[in-house]
Amino acid sequence: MTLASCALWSLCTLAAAETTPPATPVAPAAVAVAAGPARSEGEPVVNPPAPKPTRPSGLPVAEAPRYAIVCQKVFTASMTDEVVHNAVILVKDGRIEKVGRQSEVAIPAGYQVIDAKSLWAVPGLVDCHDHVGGGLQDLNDGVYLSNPGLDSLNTIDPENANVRNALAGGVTTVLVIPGSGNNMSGFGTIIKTWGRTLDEVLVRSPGSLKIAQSGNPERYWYGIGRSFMNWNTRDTLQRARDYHHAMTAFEQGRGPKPDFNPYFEKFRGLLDREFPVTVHTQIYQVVAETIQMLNDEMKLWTVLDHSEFDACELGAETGKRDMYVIVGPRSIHYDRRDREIVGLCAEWLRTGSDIDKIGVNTDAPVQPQEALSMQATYAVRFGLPRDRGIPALTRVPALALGIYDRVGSIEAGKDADLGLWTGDPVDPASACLVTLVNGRVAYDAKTMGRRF
Amino acid sequence: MRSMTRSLLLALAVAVTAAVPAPAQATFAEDAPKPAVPSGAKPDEKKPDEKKDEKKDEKKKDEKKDRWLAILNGDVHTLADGVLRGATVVCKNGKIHAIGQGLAAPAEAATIDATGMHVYPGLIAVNSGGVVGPEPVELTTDVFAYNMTFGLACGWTTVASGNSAGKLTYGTLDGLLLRNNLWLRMSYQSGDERRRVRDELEAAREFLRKKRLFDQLKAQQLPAEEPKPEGVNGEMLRLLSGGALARFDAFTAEDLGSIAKLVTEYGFKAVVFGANEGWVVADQLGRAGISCVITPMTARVERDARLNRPNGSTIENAALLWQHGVKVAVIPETPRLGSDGMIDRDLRTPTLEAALAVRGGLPREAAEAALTINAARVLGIDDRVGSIELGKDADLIVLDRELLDYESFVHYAVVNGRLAYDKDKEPLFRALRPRPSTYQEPKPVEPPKEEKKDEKKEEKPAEEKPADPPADAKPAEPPPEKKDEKKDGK
Amino acid sequence: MGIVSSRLPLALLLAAAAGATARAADGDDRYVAIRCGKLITGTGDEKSGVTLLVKNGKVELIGEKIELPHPCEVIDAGGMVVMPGHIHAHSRLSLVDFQRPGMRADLKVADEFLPAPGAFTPALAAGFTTLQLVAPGSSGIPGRCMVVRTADGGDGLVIDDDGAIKAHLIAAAQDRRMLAEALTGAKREIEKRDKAKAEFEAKKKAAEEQKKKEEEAKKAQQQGAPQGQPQGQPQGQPGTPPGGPAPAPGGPKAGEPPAPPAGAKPEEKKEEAFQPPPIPPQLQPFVDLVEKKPGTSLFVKLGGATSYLHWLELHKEHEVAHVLYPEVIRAQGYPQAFSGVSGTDLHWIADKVGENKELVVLAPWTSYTQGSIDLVNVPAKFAAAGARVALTPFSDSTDALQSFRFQVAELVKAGMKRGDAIAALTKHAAEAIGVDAQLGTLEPGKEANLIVLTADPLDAQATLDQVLVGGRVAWTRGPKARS
Repeated sequence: MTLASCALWSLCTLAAAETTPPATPVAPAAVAVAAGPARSEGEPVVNPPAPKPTRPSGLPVAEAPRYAIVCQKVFTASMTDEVVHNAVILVKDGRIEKVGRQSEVAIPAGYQVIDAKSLWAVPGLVDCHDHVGGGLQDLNDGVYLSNPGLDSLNTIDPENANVRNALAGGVTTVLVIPGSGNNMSGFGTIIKTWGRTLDEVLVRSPGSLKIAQSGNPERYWYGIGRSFMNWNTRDTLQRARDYHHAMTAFEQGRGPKPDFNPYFEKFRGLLDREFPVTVHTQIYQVVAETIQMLNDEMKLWTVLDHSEFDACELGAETGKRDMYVIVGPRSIHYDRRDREIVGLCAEWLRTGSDIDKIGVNTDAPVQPQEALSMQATYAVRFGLPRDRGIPALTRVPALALGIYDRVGSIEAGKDADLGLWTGDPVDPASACLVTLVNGRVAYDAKTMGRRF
Repeated sequence: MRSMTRSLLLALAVAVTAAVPAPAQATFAEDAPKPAVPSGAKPDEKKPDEKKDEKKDEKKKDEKKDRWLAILNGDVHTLADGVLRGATVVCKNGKIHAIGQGLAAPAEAATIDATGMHVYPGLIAVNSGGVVGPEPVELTTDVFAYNMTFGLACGWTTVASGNSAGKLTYGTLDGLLLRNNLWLRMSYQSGDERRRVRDELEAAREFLRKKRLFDQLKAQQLPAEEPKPEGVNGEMLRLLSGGALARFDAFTAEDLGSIAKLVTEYGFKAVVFGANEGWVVADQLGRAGISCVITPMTARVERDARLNRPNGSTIENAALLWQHGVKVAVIPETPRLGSDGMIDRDLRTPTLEAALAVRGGLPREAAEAALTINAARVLGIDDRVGSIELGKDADLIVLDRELLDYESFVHYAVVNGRLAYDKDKEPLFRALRPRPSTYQEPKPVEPPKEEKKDEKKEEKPAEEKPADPPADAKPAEPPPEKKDEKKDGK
Repeated sequence: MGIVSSRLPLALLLAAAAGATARAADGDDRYVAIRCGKLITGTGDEKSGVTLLVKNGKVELIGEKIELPHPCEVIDAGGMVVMPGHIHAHSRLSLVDFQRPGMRADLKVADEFLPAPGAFTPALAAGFTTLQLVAPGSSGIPGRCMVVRTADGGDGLVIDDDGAIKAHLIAAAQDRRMLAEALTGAKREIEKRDKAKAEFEAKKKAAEEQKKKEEEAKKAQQQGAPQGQPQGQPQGQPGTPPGGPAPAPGGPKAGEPPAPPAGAKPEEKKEEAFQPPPIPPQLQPFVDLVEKKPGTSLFVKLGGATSYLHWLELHKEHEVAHVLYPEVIRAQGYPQAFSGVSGTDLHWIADKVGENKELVVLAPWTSYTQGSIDLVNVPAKFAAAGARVALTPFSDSTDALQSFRFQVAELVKAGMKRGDAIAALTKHAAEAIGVDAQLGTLEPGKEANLIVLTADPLDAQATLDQVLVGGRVAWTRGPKARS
């Protein structure tokens, strides 16, 4: 891969003196303080917050076929990591109706049987870090060092060629986020990898706020370093918080109506912990700052992205805070102090991260979107316990993003997103032969040809 | 090197420990003296053999005595003649001297206990940069370099660099250069190139024809004029007379098809690097006897949607080529050892790359061959390396699992019969995966004999694993044992 | 060396006898006595409270109670430590640096040696009394080194103007080929010369025989024709080379007038001397080297461990006297988790270097192991393995010279044996530059090039007090500081 570690960034704007949008009217700080925060400062942070129901699929339910998938094994990726052998999965109305042993679940009439007796059913894989959902167009609008208010929603291209093969890799849900060429490049969007219209693919918007703390944004312009970037990010967030407090106070009849601010309007959900901030953060001191600033100080629902290099020594800190650590696209770290190569996931685990909160991502196109399962391969090869491979691809990222009520496991009531694999998806020798998204066969190697 | 001295010290004790009488299925190199010593044998009994050797090499009085190394009780994947479970490989002076179950190592042999582990021929990279030096490899290679250890840790024992093949002889220059002038590099793309190549081949073939005729007439003592090789490209002569291997770099079906036609017409040995669209013309390549070097992992991306025939890349490339009899070698996308945390499918992950060929439908055995014997064929060095056979170079790797298991790690790498890498002695991957529990650390003190027998009995049930799926088994099926492990892990 | 060692017991004997024979100083002899608080001789001995007597610039006696001759200058170093002057084995002090690529063994540092006054003061002020000035450049075979004193103690500056041949073996693809070519070239020249000599001898013999026969024939003719008749035919057959009857050696060549028979005698004398075929000047030093001419050796600058293996392969074919100077990479740089530090691999060859009892010149540094920040003490490992290690400053900079003893002390702290370190400063250093017969240790008969330190050389607080070259004070730290 010749692409830089995260994504494209732009140097084209030479008039970069301003780091944030030109003078936005913000309520005076005094007013905001007087209005008081919506959340009390002393309130403990629970990561992640209680999930809110996710928007249902835009696909018409009536058209959904009914399937009975007969398979060798279902790796449900439920909270108890249940595995059902000789199983049958009933799919109805785009959702999973029932999962059980073939001996226990009778296949009702009118269900089309998918014979996958030698295959494993694995939940559709979830990628927290994808840049190709918009076909790599408008990836990173780098006009300012912080661009609050931008949203990747407008760039989504549901049928673009870059995600087409993702289905062949069993990937069904991705968080499309803008690049990391600047500190704040906009909001991310969670979509399914199959569907014709935005309405059909959309899972949640905003999916997350993308913040890039270090590693790429310093290349925005000369003289930008970590001190300034941290100040800049904190400053932007504080202004957003002030706006949110003022607006909340007004809504609750406690203050005057502040001027409407399009830049910060979407931050209200973020500050109310309705969706997470996914942070491009790596290297020990940068991740430490992420934890301190975003999680502890701003009390945001913080998901660590990248989490590379020696950041993995911070496991105790994330463990203490129940934070999700999503690792990728780098999977190993060569520690020159010990002449040793360590797996990043294993090292996060060793230093104290919660084993149920370590996931992987691709940063597609840095690692191809269809090769998401390979990230788990590397994680397991380099020390993550073998049985954590599938959760790291499914349940963990779904939980991290707060969409586990719809995707990330094969359980009754959830979206029928699953892949039928020739074996353990973590094994690179296994292939995904059939992929269902929202109860539809989105990919079938037999009829469409092998795509990955 | 470091551990060699230690293992040499331990050799005697361990050799006796591992010794089992009556080599049941032992096979020996024809010309070499019998190396195995019965368990009760004392070092004195070996002296006749040594004396014989001394007599042979009387001139080389300065030469050191024979260098022995034995890899004990591993599952030996020969890549030539199936898998020998719990077998021992004995190496002498850098060559494979004996392979068999129940073989005993000579008393002076250094030993590696491979109990519970898998022994494979060392992997061969058909292209590389920065592992050994650029040509001339024997003068530019830093044999103490980090990349040499790293390469061995990833399983490579031989790599091509430029047009030479070098070995990863850690710590010694001895036997570093395997062969120069691996290929005759040919370009067959533009019209001019094609015309020139054909003209030269034609001239060479014509000359050879005349030469044959002349030889026949001469044999019958009839008058004949000897043809003169002037104006004939000597390399083409070498090619047509089987003395050289042609290398093409081609990607599209058009180019591959024309190369197949050329090779069929002139009948020479050829390999193709790249071969992205090999699957489209796999039958032609197979008929022409061309070997292909490919990088398996690629999604299905059409090269040109306007073409009214299959084109572009596919993960099934390796499998489809193999089905048509094409010998397939695998090389990761980037032929160097990366130092970044990003696994860019470079020389660090040969086995994962080959596993991706299995994902595309290649049988496991063929995928293993793609990193070993077929890679050796592609370099024209299969007479020396690529499989575990008597008389071949003792380039071996010992892994804790089967080669294509994504969790397998190289625990020992042996190059030219010398231990060149020991995972436990090198910080690199030391913390990652401990030796399998069946492995027994060589004991410096000889245990009583009765105990030995007991140990042997205990080992046997452990070896009764289900056999590998046959080569022609359906590729997509993972071996059953893996699933069980998964279940246990749950 | 043999002479020196045979004189040593005698000297000790003399010293042991309390109040050794009083000597009346001859008018020309110049005596200096140094009363040493501690004397580190460099031979492995360390003596306290001894006096070192210097006669005409050479060490005469070492003993606890020596009756001093008269007149005799006395230097009181009673509270101090005396040891041989330091030796810098790889210096370019006073010389102008330039690259000299290719095989130029015909060039000599001595030919560019024109030191300005005070050029060696930095070295002197750091305790260096002897320098090997090496040929310039960092590749190929740039020429012959020379060995000089840093001060004139009466014998001039130059010790050896025809020193070791410097050769590089860093980039083996070029350097090894060049070195191999030079050595095989030298062998070729020797063969050529030997062959020419053999031919010459054969011709001479043949000519002599022929002459004898001719004389016999003459005698026979003189005695009477009937007897001499049959002997005329086979004339010139035996002993002549296959090329046909050889012309008389030194005889007339084409175009030259035939030698007059009368002047045969002086010509014969000329014929006696064999004129060897001319050897190319670049190869002459290598011819000397291959023929093991005393005083000719190769000073080989090596890169990492692999270049030593290349050297071994070369050395297997061409066994020559040599000193190795491998590159020790200094442990420095800020070690971060994801940016590497450069490291050494020399410790991997310590066994081999020790096994071969190599004489190795090293910079006094600890290094990182390749690809890590594990410290490794290469000089200590080499010395422990049995190699003869000489330590030398890493450059001519004042920093390198002044911190030299300190860095050696660091090596000792990091595990090098004191004895090895002292030998590396004295005996082995002198061996490394080929002057061990006259320098490097303080023994009777050797040059009195020594330094006076305020404390042990491996003590960080040791300050240089005086430097003596040839028994004369060449440098002191100034009366103020000393009082």
